[in-house]
Amino acid sequence: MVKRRDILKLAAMSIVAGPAPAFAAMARNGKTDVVVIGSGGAGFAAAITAHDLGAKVVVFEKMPIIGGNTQIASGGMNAAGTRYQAAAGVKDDWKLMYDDTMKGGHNRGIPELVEILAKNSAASLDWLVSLGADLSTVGRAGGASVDRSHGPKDGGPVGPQIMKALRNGIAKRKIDVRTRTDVTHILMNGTGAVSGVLVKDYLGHTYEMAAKSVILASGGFSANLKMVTKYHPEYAGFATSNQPGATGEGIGLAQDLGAQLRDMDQIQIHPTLAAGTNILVTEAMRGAGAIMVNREGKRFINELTTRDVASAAILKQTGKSAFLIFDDGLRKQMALIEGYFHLGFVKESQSPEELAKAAGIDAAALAETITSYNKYRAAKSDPDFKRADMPRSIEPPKFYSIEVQPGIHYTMGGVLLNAKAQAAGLNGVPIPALFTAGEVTGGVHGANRLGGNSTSETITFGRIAGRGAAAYAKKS
Amino acid sequence: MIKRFTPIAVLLLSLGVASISNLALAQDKTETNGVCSRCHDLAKVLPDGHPKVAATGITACSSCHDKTKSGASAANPFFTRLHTAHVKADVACSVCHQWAPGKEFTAAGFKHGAAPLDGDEFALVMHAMKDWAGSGNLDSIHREKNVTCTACHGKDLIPDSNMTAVNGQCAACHGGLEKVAASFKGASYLNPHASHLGPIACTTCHNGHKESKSYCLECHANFNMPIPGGAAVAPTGAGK
Repeated sequence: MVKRRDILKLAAMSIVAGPAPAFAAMARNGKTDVVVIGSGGAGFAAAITAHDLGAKVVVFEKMPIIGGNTQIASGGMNAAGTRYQAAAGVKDDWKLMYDDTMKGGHNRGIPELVEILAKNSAASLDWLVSLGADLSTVGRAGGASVDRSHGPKDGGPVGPQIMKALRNGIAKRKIDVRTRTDVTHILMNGTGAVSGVLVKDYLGHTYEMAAKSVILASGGFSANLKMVTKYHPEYAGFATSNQPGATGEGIGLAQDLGAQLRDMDQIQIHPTLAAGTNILVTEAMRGAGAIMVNREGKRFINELTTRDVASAAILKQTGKSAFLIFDDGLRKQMALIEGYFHLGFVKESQSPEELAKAAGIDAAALAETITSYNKYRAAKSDPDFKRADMPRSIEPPKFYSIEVQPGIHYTMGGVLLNAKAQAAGLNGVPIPALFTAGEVTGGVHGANRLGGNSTSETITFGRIAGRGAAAYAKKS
Repeated sequence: MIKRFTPIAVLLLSLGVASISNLALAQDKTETNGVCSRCHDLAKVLPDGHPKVAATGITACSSCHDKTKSGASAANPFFTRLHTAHVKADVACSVCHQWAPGKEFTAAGFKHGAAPLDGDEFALVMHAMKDWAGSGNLDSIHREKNVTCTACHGKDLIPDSNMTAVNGQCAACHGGLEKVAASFKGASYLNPHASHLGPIACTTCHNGHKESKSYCLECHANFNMPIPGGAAVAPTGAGK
């Protein structure tokens, strides 16, 4: 009896140990019009757009959740000439946004692409609003000459607001989104046109999804420290503000097809991660009136400067960190600041001196800095650092500080795209049927991305990619 | 008989796999599968007072011990008890069940079973059953409440990539995210079911057949977020 059972056990085991029958993989194979790689802002904007133009779309997402970095974007969405700006009395136009973006990117951005970003920004915002997003509040982001950073009414983070609208749009259209599914290859046919993808699902099963066009919207590589330090060894040990899936495999997928990369060494360090964590403290806080001081209690920079300049300046301070200083008025104005209290980042006190002691800042100097700053604001002139916008003074009853330090935030470089969101080959000619958008691309932000421009870019170029991919699918 | 097993033999040969043991299993099953008396002396294993059982196959048991009639063992339904004991004793599935790659997985005497499984999938089911029988993971926590495979999975034992059916079933029994969030006792900002990540799938954190882990910890490494079926998580000071 025992003997027989052992034989049966062995028999069963030999079945499992054998290779998977071929028919199972074949059963998983499929075909569609458009494949989208990535489910962040760019991928979902592209998927919805392509779907609405009649294409059958399948979205692959390697992570168990959708949303990519867009879901955790905290600041705002830049758009010029919007109805919300008009309502708030802000004068802005695409040319000003273009100029700010070119200047912020040290004139390294591709002018044609930056023009598209700026000219389409208001329409992109309207499109999100039509999907149900609330982007009705405008504020100032670093490097912008006017208030053009749009967010929800309650001052909450912009990312969840955008993703909620996109997610609902995807669900309403019943677009096929497959999470936990890694794209391992983009396939090319004999004529050199992209023809689908090979994917690996969460169980390790590989299957093919044939497609008439593919949109690469897989995000950047800030969470891949090995890749980051290949370009910047000095960033070894840095934290990142990004979601854990931002590891850049999409760039390799495109490279395998002969795609041209651009600005891979242009990596943005965000000046304000909460010290010792990988949680970002939004720069909108500085835009709304927080100041930044060093351990000596002194301001050391125009708080509204670009991210690269601010980060470099912080790294030169004692302890390579700095402190955001703000008051109750600012706390009440921005809902998302409450999160920093919950996360234990904030020190608070009744006076600047006590706050300084609690935070490890020179007390007399901090009190003096706050007094001078309030005077500068009243006089509308900052003789020390030429800060142009000082929306509020720092007043009792309560004073707060958050210690911040730079971390890896955004990768400007990636797959070179053209005005039609087509991926460029090494010879500059577009790779047929391969479209791309979002942080995986390079060329829009140049040497430094302005806060609020990324969400704007994902929607604008995501929609262009969606239109292009749908049109390509239709004619092929 | 020959006709029935030829496709399997052809398949195995075409895959170049040594097929002797599979064929042995296949040929054996009609006389072995689900015949309890092959291994058990029914007169000895049935509890005192159990009505006399004339037949020797599992269908003789299941006519009384089914989902609605759990007999004298209401607190320990038959399916759970039977499978736990056999899986823990390392009895191969094939002793009681019939299966061939690409075919439904059934027990002798039952018309229908789980959806067709390939070799990899069969291995996963075997692993899951072992886990369910006593791992401390979410599956065995459910087993303790007599929750068995199809209660979470439905007929398709292998979930799709989004684990659609499983997530739907979580909500069907436990309520949706909002309901679960409302029952949270801690500080609101630590409520994992009302996070800034939006309406994420239950299975993002709650794993049936491996250790569960809160996805929040991917970024908020210093959070104390205990989770059923997970390792004990203690605060580790500052975030990573």
